[in-house]
Amino acid sequence: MIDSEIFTEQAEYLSGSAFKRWSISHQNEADTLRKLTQAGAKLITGPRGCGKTTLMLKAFDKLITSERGNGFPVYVNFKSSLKLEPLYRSNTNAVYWFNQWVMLKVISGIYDSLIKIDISINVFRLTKEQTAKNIELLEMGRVDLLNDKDDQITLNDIHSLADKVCEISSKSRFILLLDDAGHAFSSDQQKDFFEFYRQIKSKKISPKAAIYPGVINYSSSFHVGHDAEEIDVWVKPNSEGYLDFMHSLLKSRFESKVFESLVSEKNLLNLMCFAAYGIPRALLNMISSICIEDDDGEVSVNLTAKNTLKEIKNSHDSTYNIYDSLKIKLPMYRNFIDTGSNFYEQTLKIIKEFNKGSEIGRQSSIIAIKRPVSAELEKVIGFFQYAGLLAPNSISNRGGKGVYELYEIHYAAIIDRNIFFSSKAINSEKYVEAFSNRPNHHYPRHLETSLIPEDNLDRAFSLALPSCEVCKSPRVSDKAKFCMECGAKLQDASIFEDIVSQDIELLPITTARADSIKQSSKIRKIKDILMDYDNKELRKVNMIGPAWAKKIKSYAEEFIA
Amino acid sequence: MSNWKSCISQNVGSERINDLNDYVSVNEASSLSPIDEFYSEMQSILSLFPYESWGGNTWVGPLASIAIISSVENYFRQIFSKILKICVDSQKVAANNSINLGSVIWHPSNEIERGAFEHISLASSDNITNTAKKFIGIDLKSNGLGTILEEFDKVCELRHGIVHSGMVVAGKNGIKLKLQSTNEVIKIKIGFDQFQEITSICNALIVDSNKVFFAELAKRWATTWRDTPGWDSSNANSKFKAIWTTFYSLRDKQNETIPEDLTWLKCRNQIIREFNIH
Repeated sequence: MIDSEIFTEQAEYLSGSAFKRWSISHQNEADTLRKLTQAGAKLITGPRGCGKTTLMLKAFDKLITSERGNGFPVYVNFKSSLKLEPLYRSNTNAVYWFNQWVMLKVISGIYDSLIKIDISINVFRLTKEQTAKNIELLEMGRVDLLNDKDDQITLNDIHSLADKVCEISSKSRFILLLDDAGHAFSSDQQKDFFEFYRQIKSKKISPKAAIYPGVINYSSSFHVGHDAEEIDVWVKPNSEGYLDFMHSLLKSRFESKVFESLVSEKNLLNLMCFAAYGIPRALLNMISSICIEDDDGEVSVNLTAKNTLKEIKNSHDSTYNIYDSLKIKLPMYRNFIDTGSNFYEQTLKIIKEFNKGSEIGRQSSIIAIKRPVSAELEKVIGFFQYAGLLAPNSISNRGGKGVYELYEIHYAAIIDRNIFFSSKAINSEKYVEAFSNRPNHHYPRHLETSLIPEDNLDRAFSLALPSCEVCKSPRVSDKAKFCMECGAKLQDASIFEDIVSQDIELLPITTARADSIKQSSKIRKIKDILMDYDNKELRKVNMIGPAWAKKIKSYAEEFIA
Repeated sequence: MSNWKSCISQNVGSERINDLNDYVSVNEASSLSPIDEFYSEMQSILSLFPYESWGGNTWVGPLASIAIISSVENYFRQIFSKILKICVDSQKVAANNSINLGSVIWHPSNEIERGAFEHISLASSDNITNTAKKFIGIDLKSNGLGTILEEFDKVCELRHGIVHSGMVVAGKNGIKLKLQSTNEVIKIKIGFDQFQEITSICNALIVDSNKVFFAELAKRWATTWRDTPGWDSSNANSKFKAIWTTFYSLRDKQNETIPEDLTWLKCRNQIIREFNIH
């Protein structure tokens, strides 16, 4: 019988027992966990799905179950922070209210931690229920209902609360695990979050935040290195023991019969592991698509060369969609993202050409771009990093010939576009060998201009800015806040409103399922799913039980994350 | 024999202001509400410094900025005097304050309230909040304006350097702004992006202050004004209309940027319902 949670890819959606059963040791895990459970401010970084939440939850679990440890852990997930973004468009005190929300989330996390150690007392003037209610009110933008003095929280409150719970739990340190911190799409919120982070850290409070690479804007007074140490937790596919790590992930999730049949096609399995590019979530997605459950609940896998390549293609497409969906999420950068697509294709073409005729140990997956790289291309590369399609590798200093920035291409793209060997069909064995033997200092070197085919770079990187709503004059710059013609305040569209007003078809569900949801419920937009309390509307739909409703809700939450 | 005192620079002749009347013009009092007057001044300043004019001369940004801050000061002076004129509660609060005789002599009788604020600089958040408290009886900070007033204070510290020391940041201002001190001279540099931010802060302060003042006066109209011996219920509508015209922005109405688009009558009715007035 298949476990309903077996294909849940995100750690935060797993139940506690499943999490303990299925999470496996990350590479360098001991070192990272030590840094997450001991004193000091840390930032853990890595692309979507690389295991940041898993590590956070493991650190939490380690601390909360340890009788000897001296840290009181609090886990807070800020995934829904974009819900506060509309306030930044309509309220001059948005920064204050965002800070209130962050602190309320911390208080809510403190209550959760206390419950885990069987302490159910009110440690603050707001009860657990009042805290939850206030969080909800802020997420709905109802700041008008939060004007009681008792509702207002200060940083001192959090510091005093930390002292209090440490005393109650006989711990000497307060470890704040802040997951999905600094929302990828709201630079204002990112800056405000890191200001909070900088101010909350103290001798007693050690904040640890999980962030995405490439898209974070720190506040002007926050300095990585000085204010917090950055730890890259992404398991690189060229690191030692990579395949063992991915295999052990599958072994922990699947029953031995299934795992044995996966291992019996070692080359195909390893090709998938490389295509996952260090992202456990991507591997689980691919494997789940080739699993078949018969009427008796028996699970088997259909691991053939054709299926493997099909799933790798799907995996690449879905990773690419994360990049492409930024057009919807950040409409101002529409032209950047289109230009970035051409840059990506051109890069793949160049590397493919470069690899032609080279032996197995000389197949490159890296492009070197000569410095200086323009701010516009850096922005595009940041978007690719966020999606996980490009990863910064290192810097190559060639003396008088210049300095190059090295970026590696996602291995699923390498396989899907047949970048190695240039033979007609993919030979999984040769690909696995090539991935296992990465060449050093062997890659094509290019100038930025040769990677962007457009003639007119100004047009290629122009921001898609809405014109003045009053007099329709075009905006003179992305920093313009007033129309230079009529003086009217220029309206910035809310990213959150734009995202949640999208059709549910954009979620990773089939068109048939989206249609049936629309036919049998009032749900049309992503917003409707997010606002569907207890998934009541979703449950009206035929073939959507509690598990599917939860899954679809998680897709909607992930869409704004 | 040469005069050693003349050996360091050129000589200058007699200079004077020929006719001070050339420096002033008589204007009719504006019929715009203070907020609309602020918008109007802001539009003039924005159009005076078109996008193409930025980036060359370093004075463009600082000059544009002090022009905007001056409009903010003017808004507060106007709104305070208009409130004093229509609000009995404010008159009571303001009664203990003194006024310069010069202001009384200079201003026509229907503008005398403006004189009460002439000796006060309103280019700092403390002065704005203190004046609002001392003359109007409204605490702006506790009405949710704390954050924007803090931002406005940063703008005012920059203004100080522009107006008083040729864009050099003075020690006191630098410390208040928490800037890193150096052995070199720190000068204020305001480009297009920074000017837009400054304008946005000023605009937000005016729009939100206007709302706070309106809400408070509407509340007083519905409550405390009615308890005064001079209250005549037959004038209730005209009193409310006076509040409405003081705060209402016809420009925002025209631009369709008012989120709750009510007429003054509908607004009055909502207030009547909220305060349970019979």
